[in-house]
Amino acid sequence: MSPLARFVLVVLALLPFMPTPARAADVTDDRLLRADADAANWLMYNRTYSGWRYSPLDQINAGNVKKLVPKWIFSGGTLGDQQMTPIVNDGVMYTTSTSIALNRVQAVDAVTGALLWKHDRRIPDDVGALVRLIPHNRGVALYKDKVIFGTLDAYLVALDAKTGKPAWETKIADYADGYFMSAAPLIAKGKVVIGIAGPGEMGPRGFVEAFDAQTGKSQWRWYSIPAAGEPGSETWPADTWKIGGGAVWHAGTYDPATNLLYFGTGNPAPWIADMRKGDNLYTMSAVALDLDSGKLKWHFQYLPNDPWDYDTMAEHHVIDVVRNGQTHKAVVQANKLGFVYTLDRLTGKFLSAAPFVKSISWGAPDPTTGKAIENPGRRPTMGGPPVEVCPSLLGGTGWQPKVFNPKTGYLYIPANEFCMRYGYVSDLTYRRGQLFTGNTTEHFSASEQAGVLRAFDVNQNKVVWEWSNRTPLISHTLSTAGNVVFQGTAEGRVVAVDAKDGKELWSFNLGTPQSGGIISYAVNGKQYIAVAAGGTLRSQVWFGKEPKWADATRVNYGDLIVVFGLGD
Amino acid sequence: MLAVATLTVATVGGGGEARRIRLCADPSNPPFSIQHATEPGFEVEIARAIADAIGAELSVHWFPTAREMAALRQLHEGRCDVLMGVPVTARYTDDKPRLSFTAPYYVMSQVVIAPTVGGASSIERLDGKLVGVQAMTLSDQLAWERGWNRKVYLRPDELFTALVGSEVDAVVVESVFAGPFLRKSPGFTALSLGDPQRDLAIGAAVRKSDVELKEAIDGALVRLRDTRVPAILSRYGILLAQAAPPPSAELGAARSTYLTQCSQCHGVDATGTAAAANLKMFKGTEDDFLRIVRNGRPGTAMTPWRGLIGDDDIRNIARYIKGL
Repeated sequence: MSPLARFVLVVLALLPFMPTPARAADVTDDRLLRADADAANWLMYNRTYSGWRYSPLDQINAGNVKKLVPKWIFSGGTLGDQQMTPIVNDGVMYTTSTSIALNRVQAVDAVTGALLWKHDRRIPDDVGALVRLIPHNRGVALYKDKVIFGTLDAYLVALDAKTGKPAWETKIADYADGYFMSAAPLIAKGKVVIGIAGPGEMGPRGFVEAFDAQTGKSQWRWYSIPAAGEPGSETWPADTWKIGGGAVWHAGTYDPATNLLYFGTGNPAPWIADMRKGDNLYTMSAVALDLDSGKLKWHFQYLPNDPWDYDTMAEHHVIDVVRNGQTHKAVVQANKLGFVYTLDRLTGKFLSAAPFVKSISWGAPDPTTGKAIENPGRRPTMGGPPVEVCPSLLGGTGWQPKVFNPKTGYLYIPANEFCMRYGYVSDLTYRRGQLFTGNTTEHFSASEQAGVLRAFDVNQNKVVWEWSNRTPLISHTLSTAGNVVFQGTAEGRVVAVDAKDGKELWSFNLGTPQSGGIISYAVNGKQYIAVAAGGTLRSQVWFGKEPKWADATRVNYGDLIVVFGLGD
Repeated sequence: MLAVATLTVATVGGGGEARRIRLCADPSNPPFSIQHATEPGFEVEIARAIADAIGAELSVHWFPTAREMAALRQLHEGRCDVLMGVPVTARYTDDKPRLSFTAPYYVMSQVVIAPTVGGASSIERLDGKLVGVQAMTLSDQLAWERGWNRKVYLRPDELFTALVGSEVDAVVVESVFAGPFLRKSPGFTALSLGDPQRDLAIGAAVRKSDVELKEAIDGALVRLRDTRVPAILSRYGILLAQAAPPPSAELGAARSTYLTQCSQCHGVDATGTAAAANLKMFKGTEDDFLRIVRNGRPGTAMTPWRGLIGDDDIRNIARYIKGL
């Protein structure tokens, strides 16, 4: 045996004892299906197809959460919006960061925070206005030995999970139209399913598309706006459907039993409702798409002819809801309109809607049919004075994911008590690549505590407790089996409260606005809490001139992951 | 000027009877209300449309509304049930604890009217000109605040006579008066003030105890908002004045572009936010402005706009901001 061969053998012999990085097992369809039971890992954006963001880990619990200390901090190195949820597979964490002209994906040792590999993708600088203003990405998806993510120039890209080397890429759309990818992909039965961002502010038609997860080849595309002649096209005057928006910019959920994907669709474009008279299907809707074919199984429109940018892109939680002793197979969405909607997930039939914020003046859904009934005088007119309407366009709750804890039966909603002065400009013309919105917006709040984390009992259909914060909660939430709810704030705190009553148990100042995902995972039997932070344009610019929020607008951006564990 | 047309509507509930609503309206206050069979004023017509929509019978209690307190007393004392034409802004409604207010059904703004040929072509050109106003109105206050030379009249019709007779160079009036005047006087143009802070949302007042009536009116307004209300307003020329063209087409387009593309960060008034500069404080030249907007400011949220907004449009935005 040569000296070299002996050396190799020695290294191989040592490998099993090296603590990290562990050899991450491939993420198969079966592992994704049973992600719920895989307590140590966080294998997809919302952790499970059901969209719950609930971790079954309970080593860290309401009794010992006070002992949480930072274990490591990782700097992503950008100054873009940080909206990403980290993904963890067997001791390896995958993160994304963005800035102008850059998509970055990094793999990090989940125990030490050491960088394993980095992939930078340069983005052309002639992308649409929205991407220039708020470059952002919400994370990757894992499939087999690949890491898959969408890009700011509207590509779907797969990297080798072990090395970060590019495997394949597929152009999804033309970025010059303002299209880009911000959502984390959802992968089921070998298909990567992702919705497109941009149309709600930039004009072109939104869509959801499925790709072969091995090759990146397109399988089907479903447009959120029917073309002329298709059913639903009668809800768009003339050619407005071509530039009618309807982005599907947030990750979907999936029910393996029905084989249906559930997506929320965004607002129509432009934001000036009079420029597209009609119901504007299928914007502002819950849609159920067959995973195999991409065919629309059912839809429920939350708000026809949306005049306020109240887009309903939020996730639909797959929950069996018990009402009056009867179990309903439901999807539940808490959305910008300020209501928790419960729909039958097989048919889309409206079951109920209950408010979770007090600041609602646009109107309310009809209690029987769910049809939106607007209050008069809340729609602005072109060139007319701004109207005051609540909630603000950031929503009673927005894209910040809601969390369902099956032990308490509560949906934890990072909610907001705020309003806006909202007007339309007097004229607006579609120009490719420019913002196609046409609004003026100023946010304000009558409440001293605008951000309110509310626990909503999905069976009783009502709010049971709340914990509040001075500024709006454009931040993330996590619930665990340890009877804890973690909540971030724009001031930069991450707070732990008791899942049963909302009592504050612990907090930590991250030094930058909490704005990305909060997840939990375990390696070598030790539980960790990971918090992605760094800020969003929303927390600095969109808080605008409300004096009560001035402190939070001064907090600096920084692209960080802070990981906590119990002190030794 | 408040309570311009006092539309008092009362519900006299009765088992099985059709609801009756009594409206208080001024017999001589065009274009709001006038005791006239076919053209009773837009406030009366909107009240009728509301009554139709909720299946009620409308009767009118004609009462002068020039004195606001006397008009409100008609409502408090039950001689009528609805008073139309009241501002539904907090500053007005907050000190009326015995009343409740419906949703607004139109917005009253102030406009400047000047001769199309040889008159002031923009608000900025009114300095040194003689401006007619109606005494003790919001328009009067506006002209005073802006420091214009103002000449005061008692009634709107006197104002317009003065304008047509070249006694004044321009007049400032509420948009409701401007519309009907412009419709019959083709030689005059309305200039928008571009100041939404001064706009007044106008709705109706009912007694606080008439909860059901308020809800019925609000419900009716939802159904009428896009149909009969605008039709009535436009028949009386009310919308004409509100849609007044901006001072110049270029700056008007620049305003829309600024508000759509820029105001989300820099604010509607261009004075900036925590993450974006106060553009009113910009000390550079127009060329500097163009360069920065084209290239952005590296390391900040100000990204390059070249390729998205044309150079001429950027220059017009600079001029628009200067004029704010």
